[in-house]
Amino acid sequence: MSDILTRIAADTPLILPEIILVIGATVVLFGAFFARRNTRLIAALTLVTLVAAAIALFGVPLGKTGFFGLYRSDGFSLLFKVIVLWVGILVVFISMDYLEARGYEAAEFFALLLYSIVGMFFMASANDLLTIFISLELMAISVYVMVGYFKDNELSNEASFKYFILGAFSSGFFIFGASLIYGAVGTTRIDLLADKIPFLSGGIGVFATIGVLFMLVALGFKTALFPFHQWAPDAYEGAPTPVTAFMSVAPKAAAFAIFLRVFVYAFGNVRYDWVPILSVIAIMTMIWGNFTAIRQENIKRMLAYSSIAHAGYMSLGIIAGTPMAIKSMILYLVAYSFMNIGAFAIVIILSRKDGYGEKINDFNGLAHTNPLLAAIMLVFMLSLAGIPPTIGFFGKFYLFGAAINSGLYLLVTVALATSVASLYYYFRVVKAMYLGDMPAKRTVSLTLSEKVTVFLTAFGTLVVGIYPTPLFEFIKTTFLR
Amino acid sequence: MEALVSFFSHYMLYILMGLTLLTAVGVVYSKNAVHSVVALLLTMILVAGIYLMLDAEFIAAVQLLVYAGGIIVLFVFMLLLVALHKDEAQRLFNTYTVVSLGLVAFLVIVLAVVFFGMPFGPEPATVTNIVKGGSTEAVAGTLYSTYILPFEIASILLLVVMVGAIVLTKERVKS
Repeated sequence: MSDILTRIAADTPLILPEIILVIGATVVLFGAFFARRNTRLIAALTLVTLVAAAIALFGVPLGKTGFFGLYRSDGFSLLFKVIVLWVGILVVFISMDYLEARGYEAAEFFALLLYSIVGMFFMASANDLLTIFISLELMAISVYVMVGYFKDNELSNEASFKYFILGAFSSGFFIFGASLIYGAVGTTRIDLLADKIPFLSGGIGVFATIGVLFMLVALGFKTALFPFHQWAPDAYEGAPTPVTAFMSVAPKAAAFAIFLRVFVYAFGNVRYDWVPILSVIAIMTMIWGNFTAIRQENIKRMLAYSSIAHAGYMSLGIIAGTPMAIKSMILYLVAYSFMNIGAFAIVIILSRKDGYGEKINDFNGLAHTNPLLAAIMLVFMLSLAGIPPTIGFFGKFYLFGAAINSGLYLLVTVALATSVASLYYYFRVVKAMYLGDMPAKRTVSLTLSEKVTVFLTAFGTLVVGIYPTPLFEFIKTTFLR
Repeated sequence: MEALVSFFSHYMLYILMGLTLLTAVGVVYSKNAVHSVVALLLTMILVAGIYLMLDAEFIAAVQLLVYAGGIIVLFVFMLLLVALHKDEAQRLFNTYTVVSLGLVAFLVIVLAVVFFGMPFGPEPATVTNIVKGGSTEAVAGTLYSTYILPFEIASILLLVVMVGAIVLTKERVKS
């Protein structure tokens, strides 16, 4: 018994960042008592927690497996955790004033944000289907509540409900698939699954295949790939805009982390069973996401379909499955976090209480009233479309390059063709800003936190786009450890 | 008496299984929703009995607590909230019956193919209490050692669920 306790105690340093996040989240939650009206104090506490977790994260020993093999700390998980923390910090900046202006309590909001980040941390590191499932639920339930946080808003309620029902459904698929795999293989550990799955015989193999398919459906739901994407536009449109920004990047990144962990590592030896299916799904996702985005009038819906399309591009990394492709996919996620959060930040800055700023037409003439803001939005749109000299170009360049190296010519052709189509809807926003009729003058003033967010994202998008080497080197060296 | 005990010890499992099937059919074919719920409750209790016969007393207890206790209560609440008597006039056998019969037949065939394709080892001589100290102790031992991490994450999950339920249902205080 004491042997077990010493083993658990010895492994505890591995989850130090998660422990800091849980403590910070609980302190922020208690902010509902001592700082009910003080949004800034609570936001500051949240930022302190995130920064402390980031410092602890870089002190965690890498390449270790702990907690009886259920937790794996490696460069792969570290990179995903860095992305999630970075998105978390940006979202705190953009949601502060948004919540304050609408008179919603900040304590529960930021506590749920931190709890969902804890879930994502465990998702990135989990080395076991059961741990993945529990941490997936921790992340998902926090995000369901955040989507429905604006209780007076019917759209927010509807979005939360739809997201909850479909999310619960997909979690059911996940756990059912995991139980079939456990029944067939006798373990839920990722590393043991990878060794044992190829040696299953006849009838048991059928069960395992059904399990793999179920998990493909569940993770397709979580990452909003084609036939399982229907929840995304409604949830993205109805959610409070900072939550939309958050859920379009962070939960997606964490879901891709488990997608990679389960499919590339655990089912990597039977990849010819699922690669054709995922390839068809990826092609349909890229086509559907890009061509449906063209028709949207609401910019949040448009960005939702664009995020479905980006998930389609990113699934190329899973299909290729090589270390190079996984690194490129992580780079793509970093790029996506910069440009997508930036674009949503501009939507938030434009939208005030009356819901103005959520239509593409609301961007008419922005270049005349706010030339700088319009120029920054132009940069984000160029980056999302993948045009140099922005980070989005390098993301696409390396991802598609890695896919070509793995021989995925058809998929890359479709990805390139649909990227061209995506220019159309991104440039609708640009056209509205630069060529649209100037409406009645609306003054747009930025608060300090909004300035910080826009600066950080625009700076990242441009600087990495012009001089990308340090970021590449960081991803490369961290991934190897 | 001897014969009776011997009969039950051999065939109790099959009796329970048969009764479970009967009550499950009752869930589907009773026209009154309340009867369906009662039949479902009986099904759950009988399944717990099957678990007991298979020496899995922990799962049997959880089955009783969660399904017979929790889920059935939810069903009863649903009956209070939804007007179900409208459907009573509907015929039980309609076009869907044919479709579902076809699907069930397909499923049975697939399962049979898988079952008979399985490489079973030699038949086990007797199934006795496999785990020393009973399954409850075994579950507890595993839960608090190997699976301590997901167990701890589950505690945070429960906290989030409680906070979330309060956030979404509490009346909003205008500031």
